[in-house]
Amino acid sequence: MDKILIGEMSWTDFQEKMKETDLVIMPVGVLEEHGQHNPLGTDTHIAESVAYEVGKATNLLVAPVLPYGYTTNIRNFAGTISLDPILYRDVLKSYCESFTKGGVKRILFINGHGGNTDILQMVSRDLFDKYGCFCMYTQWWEVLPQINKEWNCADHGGYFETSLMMAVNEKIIDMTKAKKAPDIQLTEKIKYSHGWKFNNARINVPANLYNLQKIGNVGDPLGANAKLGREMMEEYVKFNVELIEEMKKINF
Amino acid sequence: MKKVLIEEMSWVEFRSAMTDNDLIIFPLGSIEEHGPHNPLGADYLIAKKAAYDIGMKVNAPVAPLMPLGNASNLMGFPGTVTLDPELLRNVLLQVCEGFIKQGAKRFLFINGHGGNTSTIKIVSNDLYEKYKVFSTQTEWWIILKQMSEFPCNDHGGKHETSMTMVVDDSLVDMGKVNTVKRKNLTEKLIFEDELTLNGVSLPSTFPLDKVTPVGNYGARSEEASKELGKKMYETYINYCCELAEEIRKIPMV
Repeated sequence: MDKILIGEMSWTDFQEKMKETDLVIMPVGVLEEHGQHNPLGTDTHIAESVAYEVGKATNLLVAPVLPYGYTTNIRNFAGTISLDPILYRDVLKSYCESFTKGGVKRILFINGHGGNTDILQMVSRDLFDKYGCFCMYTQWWEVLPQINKEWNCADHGGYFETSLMMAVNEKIIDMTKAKKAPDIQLTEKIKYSHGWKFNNARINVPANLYNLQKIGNVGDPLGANAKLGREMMEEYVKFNVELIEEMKKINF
Repeated sequence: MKKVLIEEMSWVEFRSAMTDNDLIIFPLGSIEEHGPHNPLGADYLIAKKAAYDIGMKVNAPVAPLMPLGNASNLMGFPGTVTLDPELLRNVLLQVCEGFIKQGAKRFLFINGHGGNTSTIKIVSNDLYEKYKVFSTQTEWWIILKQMSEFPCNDHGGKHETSMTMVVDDSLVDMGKVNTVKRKNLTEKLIFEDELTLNGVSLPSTFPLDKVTPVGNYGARSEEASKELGKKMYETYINYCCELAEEIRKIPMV
């Protein structure tokens, strides 16, 4: 098999590869709590692992993961680290800009962390505007519920995310510490249920989770299992592989 | 299972790791060319492994690797990534600030890339001034130059290739090694292992693609070996472990 991890190939390998493709896969993560049972790097581990599988399936290059991102509402948990959002945007932009100088014209971000979404939007728009570099991103919790209705994926370190993490590396999960988190609400009507909602419609709530509960996950991780995780992983990888085939066809 | 990588710990495990420890090991690298035979990740791969081994030995948490660094003079080689020093400074500062809020008072930066050196020094000053937090950095080539017989003045050459082999020799393709002398800048500004004028060495940040087509320079990569790398690596790790223990003894207010 050809090398797919950019960090493992030489500059001449990279140059050769750019003759046959201009697409790079870039995993995006964060360091933040995911309940008492999941590792702080959960989002990073998932994104990295998915990116690698997608790279293998498509024989395309995978960029080294940046393990720091933007997180707001859970900063008070130990081990959670956030970059300023504009700094994070600038870093991602520079990272991608450097690749455009080496011949990259398309980037697929595999995003493991919801807090990064808005930043990826900004970066994608800027890169196209400035360099004609076409970027897209996918997020497992958005893609999978649309593929399988039974997978609502609306948790943080809960049933679905823990299962997915198990498919990546079961050894760094301690299920003996897994606890169902209590329901949280700010007022009687502003409640968390598959995201923050007011009268059943999603709204943005900049709440500090640590003040509401000290477990860290949202949802119930009990029952999470690697089998489900592997099924989710397989579907998500498959989706990204198909998306890449389409991205390759776009003419601009 | 003993965990030292922060990204593998849960938030409660990290909290308990910080109850009787206030030192964090932080690996820093770069994605950049190191000759046709070495991986683009050479700098970060070395830093990542070293930080892990040091963390295991001195029982200190290891921060997730920052893989991007400042490498603007190597941008002529595809696959190289550069970050503006101001961005790098702010990233390091903000990550450290996060850990300081959670009890960190000392940092040991394990830096795999020369282009980061100046920025990390600035960050150390920032951290001390703002938070009275102590931090310092080690770079394998600077440490070894002073305490071993290895001159380590190459880029992807004999010494760096040997170090990369210690991480994973399947990532080094010795079949592609090609050591070429860099073009001199003037008749008197000569590239040997370093840039020199009348035999006196000078720092050089000249765009590398203007003076070599291959990307590696200095001591011949052909002479690299895993054995040599192991000697260098062990010396470096031992030094860093001793330093880490010493940093722990510094009285902090």
